[in-house]
Amino acid sequence: MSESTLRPGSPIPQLAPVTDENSFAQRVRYVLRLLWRDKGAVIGLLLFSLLVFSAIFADQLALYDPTAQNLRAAKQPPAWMEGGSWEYPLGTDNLGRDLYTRIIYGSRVSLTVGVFGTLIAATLGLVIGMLAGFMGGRVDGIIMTIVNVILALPYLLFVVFIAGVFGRSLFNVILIFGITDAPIFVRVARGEVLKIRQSGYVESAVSIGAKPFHILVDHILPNLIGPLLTVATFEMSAMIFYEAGLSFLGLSVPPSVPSWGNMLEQGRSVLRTLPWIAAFPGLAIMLSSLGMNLLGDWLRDVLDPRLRRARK
Amino acid sequence: MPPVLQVDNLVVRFNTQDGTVHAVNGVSFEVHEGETLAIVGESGCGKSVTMMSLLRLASGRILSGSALFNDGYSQIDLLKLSEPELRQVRGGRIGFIFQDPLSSLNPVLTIGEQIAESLREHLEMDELAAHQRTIELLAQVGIPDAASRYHNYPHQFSGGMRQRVMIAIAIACGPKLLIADEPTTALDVTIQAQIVDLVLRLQKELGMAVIWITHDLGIVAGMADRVAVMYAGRVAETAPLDELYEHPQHPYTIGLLGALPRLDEQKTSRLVNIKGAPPDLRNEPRHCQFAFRCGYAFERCWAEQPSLVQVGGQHGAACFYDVTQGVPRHGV
Repeated sequence: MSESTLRPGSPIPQLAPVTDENSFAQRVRYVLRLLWRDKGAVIGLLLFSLLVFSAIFADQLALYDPTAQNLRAAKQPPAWMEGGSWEYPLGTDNLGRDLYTRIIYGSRVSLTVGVFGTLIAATLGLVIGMLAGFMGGRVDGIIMTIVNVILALPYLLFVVFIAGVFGRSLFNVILIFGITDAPIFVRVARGEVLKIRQSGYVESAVSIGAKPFHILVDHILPNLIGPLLTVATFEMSAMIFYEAGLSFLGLSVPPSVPSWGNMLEQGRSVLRTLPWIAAFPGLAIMLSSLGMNLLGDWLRDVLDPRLRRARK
Repeated sequence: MPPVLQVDNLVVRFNTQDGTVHAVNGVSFEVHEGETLAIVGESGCGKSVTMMSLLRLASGRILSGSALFNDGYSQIDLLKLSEPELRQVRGGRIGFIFQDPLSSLNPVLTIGEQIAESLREHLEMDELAAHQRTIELLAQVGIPDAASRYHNYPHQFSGGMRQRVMIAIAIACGPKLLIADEPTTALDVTIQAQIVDLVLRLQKELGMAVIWITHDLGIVAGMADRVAVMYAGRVAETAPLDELYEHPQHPYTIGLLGALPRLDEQKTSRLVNIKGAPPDLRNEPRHCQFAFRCGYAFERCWAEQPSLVQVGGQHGAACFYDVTQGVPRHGV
């Protein structure tokens, strides 16, 4: 009944080239098509791209030096309002610094914290979570106790403490976010590992005598990437938010470095008279967070294994 | 020639919150080279647990018993192996096929990689050699266009093809014993026939012994050399195929065969069923577990557990009653 063209002992055929069905180009097109179907995701991707673009090409996009003060041009409203000009499209702050330029440069701070903070948290969380989920027993118990302690820490207090002892810097913020956010990834990774351990293909791998480490790395880990990626986008959005909060409190970057939180703080006291100073950074924070959340939503839908089969 | 597998008095228990489940209670059987043994029984009778316990794939405690495995390389007791030794046996010397091919394949790896995994683990092939050997295996199990199908993912295959992939994984290292745990239960009938044919062909090509677990007596009739009927964690009856179908000795077997719809049956007759339900395996009673449902039970059945006795040439039944004579068995 079978149509095999080979018998054991027959000459081994040349390895055929990979067919179109799974070529890289086809897969990219598939993902783009999925993306387009979800308009929210398109917006999210746009916003995220804007953020990344601004951060990378800040020097080219900016109009001025972000720290350059020009007291004669201070407190100018945005270009479309009365008293404003296109020289300073979004207006200036009370020291005459161009808001547009500072927002562009501020994206660097937010993106850096978001990306590296999430990277650290996700890596830490993944490794620890896999260990806890896979080894179970006492190791799991100890790890989860530590994780719960960290989760219970009021991170603000922690940040104040670190800032007081080690000084304010972006590096410290990233490190703190990395550590205090890791527990979330530990929980996700551990939960998924526990679930995947019960699955048929892990049982099958055990039945062919695969070593435990190999099962963890080659079978379980690839199935963790999806959920982890989804959580990562949401955490990145949260970190952008939290960083803004921290610089608002003066606990993040020094005031000389433009950050959206700094700018919010500066605009707070003049909110009624010069609302644009706080409004635009606020908008930037909101849009960046929104963009990441939309992307995260899309990722979660796309990576849901139940929906994986629907091609068109 | 010693049998490829000789299981003697296997006892497996599960400790659960609701009590200890006596899943396997003294199961013994053997399989010879090139032979197909079908293990039949209803859900929950312990057939899967028995097989999986041999390779310690189940989480039950093995209380006692031995499982002598002899494939020409060496004779070993599977139940006494250390974990690293057991890992070598799994896949390398004994192949195992699971029931649901969809959940038994990793969705994020190509099927080629999953077959090659076994080759690289046991035969220590490098990537290229494993790749080529995998393509050969895919062709051997009847997957057309093997070279390009190597790179496909499980969801790109139909159920029958996935089961063929599972079979390829199981036979990759040329094991002398193949254990198939209800491999066709999840497939439709025409595909079932193809898979059965495939396994029989591979058996001949590779000289394997096959243990086929199923609850489908129709499949058994089409492929087994010997049959072991299990009930409540015990072997109720074991016999060569024809002998079992023509002269069943255990009331349970008789009931099972009677419950099969037949082509020559009258339209108006109802299917015979075995009254009652399978026992709760949390108890280990002193009487025959089938007594509640048995039409032939008498006093002795309620006083002690019957063990497997010889009732014919290669035919054993665990019953105190002789159904052919219509009287309690002598000398038991």
